[in-house]
Amino acid sequence: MARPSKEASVSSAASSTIRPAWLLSVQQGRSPAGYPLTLYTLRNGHRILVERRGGGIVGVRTFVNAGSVWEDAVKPGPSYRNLGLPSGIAHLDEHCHFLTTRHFPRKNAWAQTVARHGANANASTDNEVIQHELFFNKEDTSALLALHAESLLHPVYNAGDIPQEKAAVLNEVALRTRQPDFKLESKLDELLFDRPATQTGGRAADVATTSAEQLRLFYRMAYTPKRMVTAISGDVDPMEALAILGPVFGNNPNHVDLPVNPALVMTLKPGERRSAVIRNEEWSNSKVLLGFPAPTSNNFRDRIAMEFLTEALDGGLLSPLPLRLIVRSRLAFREAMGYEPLNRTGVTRLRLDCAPGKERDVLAATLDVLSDIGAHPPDARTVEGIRDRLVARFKEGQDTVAEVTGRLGGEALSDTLPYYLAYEQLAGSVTGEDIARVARTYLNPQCYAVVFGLPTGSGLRKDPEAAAFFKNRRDVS
Amino acid sequence: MIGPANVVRSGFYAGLPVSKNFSALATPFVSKPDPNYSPVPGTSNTIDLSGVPSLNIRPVTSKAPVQSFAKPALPSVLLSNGARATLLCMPNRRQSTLYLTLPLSPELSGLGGLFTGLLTNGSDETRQRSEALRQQNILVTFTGLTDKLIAVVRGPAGREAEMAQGVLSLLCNPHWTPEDFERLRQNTARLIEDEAQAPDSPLLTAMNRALYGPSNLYSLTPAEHIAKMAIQTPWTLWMALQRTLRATPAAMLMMASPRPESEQGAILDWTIRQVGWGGNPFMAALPPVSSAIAPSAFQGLLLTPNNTLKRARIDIIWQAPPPGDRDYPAFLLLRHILGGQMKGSFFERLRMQDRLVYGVPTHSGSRLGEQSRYHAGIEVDFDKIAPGERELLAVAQEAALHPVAGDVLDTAKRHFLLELRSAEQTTWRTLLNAEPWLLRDQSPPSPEMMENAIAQVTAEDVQRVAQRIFSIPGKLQLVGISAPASILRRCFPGYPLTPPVS
Repeated sequence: MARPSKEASVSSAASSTIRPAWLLSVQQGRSPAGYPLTLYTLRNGHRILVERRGGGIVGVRTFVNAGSVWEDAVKPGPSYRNLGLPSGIAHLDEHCHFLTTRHFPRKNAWAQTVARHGANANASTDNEVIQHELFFNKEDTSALLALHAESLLHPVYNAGDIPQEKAAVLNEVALRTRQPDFKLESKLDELLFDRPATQTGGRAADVATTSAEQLRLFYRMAYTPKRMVTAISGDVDPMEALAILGPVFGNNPNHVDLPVNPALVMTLKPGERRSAVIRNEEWSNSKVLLGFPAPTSNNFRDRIAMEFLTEALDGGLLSPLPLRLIVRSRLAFREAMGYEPLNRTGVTRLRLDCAPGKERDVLAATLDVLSDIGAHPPDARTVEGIRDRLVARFKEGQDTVAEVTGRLGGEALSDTLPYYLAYEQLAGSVTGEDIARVARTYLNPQCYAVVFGLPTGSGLRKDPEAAAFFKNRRDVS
Repeated sequence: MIGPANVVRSGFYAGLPVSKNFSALATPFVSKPDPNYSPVPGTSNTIDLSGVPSLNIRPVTSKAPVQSFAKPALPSVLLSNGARATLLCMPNRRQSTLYLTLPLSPELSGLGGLFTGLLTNGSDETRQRSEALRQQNILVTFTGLTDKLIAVVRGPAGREAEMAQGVLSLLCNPHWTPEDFERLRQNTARLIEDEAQAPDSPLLTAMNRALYGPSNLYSLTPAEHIAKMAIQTPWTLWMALQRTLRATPAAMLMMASPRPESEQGAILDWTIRQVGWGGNPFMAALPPVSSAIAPSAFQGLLLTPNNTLKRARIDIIWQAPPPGDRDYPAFLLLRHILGGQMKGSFFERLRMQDRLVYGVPTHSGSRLGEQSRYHAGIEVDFDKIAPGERELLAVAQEAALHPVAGDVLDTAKRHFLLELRSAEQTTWRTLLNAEPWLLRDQSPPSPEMMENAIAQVTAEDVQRVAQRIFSIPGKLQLVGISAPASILRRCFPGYPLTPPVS
């Protein structure tokens, strides 16, 4: 079993051995958890990362640099080109990789074979990334790696089989979009990116009419080696993994290279504020959802400082956001904050739940808190505490193969692997002034989008027993 | 020296040779090819999948003596205040976890949400103590169930004493002010109100009332929760907490940590003395909330109108064997066979075959009393209510009628092993697996024992437990359907609609 060490790096391995034609380079190093990490770069551009660790479970994920941002917009706007790909095709295509494959031509045979191993298979699609994953017992490694490659590279789009997955996609979309909170989030994305979150699910009519030929074209555009990264973690010999995946992925030709929308873009201009209101009878209380532009994934300096800023604002009960909005002013009763780096932009989202009628007060108080931290950098002791917590949390994230493959593959796909490998070092460089600087730069009270979610139902106040309490509660507050 | 040239020499990859070592790895354990597999010759990146269905995990039947979960493998120790603790040494983990359950006294039952807020956020002093723990990377989470208070503490390995002291200090030396009490009470009411708006909330509340009767604590409606909260004062809750804490024989602790069990026990015992959790070893455990099922609920159909729904909800509740029952290992495998969100018989039938749903979430709950439940729920379009209900019931009935095939049972065992191994990656997931036992005041089995007990399960065991759960008459099978009233009247003409429960 591999032993952890403190190093975290990847370096070129000196090799005097003969390489197969499809292999370009081999680099070896240590993962952040201290396990041996091997990066194989295939000649066609596909990269395979293998972290060898102990334990009985193995995880493999392949990331594809493609997504729903390539599709024709469900709400047309000037920010993205229409390429003739129907909405929802990235997601529908992801489903079809489980349906029928070249060596498993009977419908669902691939999925049934994977299931017979007791493995967990899943996949996900968003605006910029498609991801396929398999988790299995280590004794099944050779079979499951081969099956993983099979589903990725050899989907077969039989017109007669596809309706099954169209129905599954439409059921999935119905399940998600009926959530009132999803409408709120989708609206915020629309304000920020000109791209509502409903894009990935697609319009029902588009999903229903997408043809096998369109799916084939999308596959050839997206599942091309230079857009793909595979990450493996578990008790796997990297050589054995390469011997299974290398010849398959290595002989996958780079297919069609058509111009695409490469990533989400921030459409909010400097100094611009956008707002929207959504009303829903299923809500009892109000919601205020805020979105700010944020650092890209490859802006390491601002990205790590942004992580510190998020922790500084919302790390615990005594952090400024909960303390001022919930405990002191009692304006909100629940809040959450999160930062998501993307390829060409990023977003910081804040959500605040409050009593109806308090929405504007909540917004004003939140902007005050954000301004304060820009004007008053946290002291060195506070920064040290944040650093300790972030690094500890990062280390905890190295305990499971699911999390490790997710981080390894995701960062490698964005060409930001050093951010992951040198996380502790980067965290060590952040100062209080860095935190204040990113607060001033990105959480600017003059540049944001806000969606107000307002209830139109009476909630429990129609109930006499609850009504008595709510009446009393209003008096108190 | 790691180098691909050592590997790729001969064999089945597009003319690239394979070494002996690699050949051994790729050799199927069974020679029978997969009937699903169709070779496609002559392609440059052909994948060898002939060995894919091979049975190459460790044997699923063991020669070890048959063990069930009825007798716990992990010994529990009695702490100095009368509380019981189960200790599990898990070497080489970065994080330790402490899990604590306390039965809530009747005054607190159903008020878990408010109560957990008070314990961590009840005053400036309490917040300071919570923050001090966070500064040490110790995360304390309190959860209030109807009849249980659960505390889960996760922290860096080596800081078990600080973890134990932190959570027991919050619990045994609580501090809340009237102002914070009122704030948390209002906020909790808001949260209850929000949860009541969830699409499945009215139906599940109505089903609980049908199962346990309207006066049972499991059956409180959101409005009743708020009404119960409204009559509390800071003092009544403080007194109720003291009563809960005094009943130490009913308290269960479990720790998983790289430390030896003896050290874990010493830490817990020392901490209990430090924080003054004296308890009363002679005080009987608080009586559990009854979970006896009302006779009228058996094989019932409950139609709950909800005019805000955009799709129909169908939920079915059966009665399942609880942890500790001799059929429990077979039940765990039956759950895998029937499946859940993304695999199993429900998934195969309702999603793949009939295209009715995206997934079929299933759940098994374990309550303090004598009952345990197995629950499957789906969302369907309004015009698919009848086939949705029919197929859910048909899959369950077929499990009772037909013995499970050997390969299906083997798959379930493999999947169970995968989940077990997945949980063993961290201490907190391991304890999460032990939760069904802990919630019933039982010491859980060790992961090794779980694996062994699962290995012993036969196809006959699985069919027997399926019959025990699904064979009517005589067995609980409560079907709940929620949709707008007009839809329900059209689908079930003449059948009474349950009055909505707020």
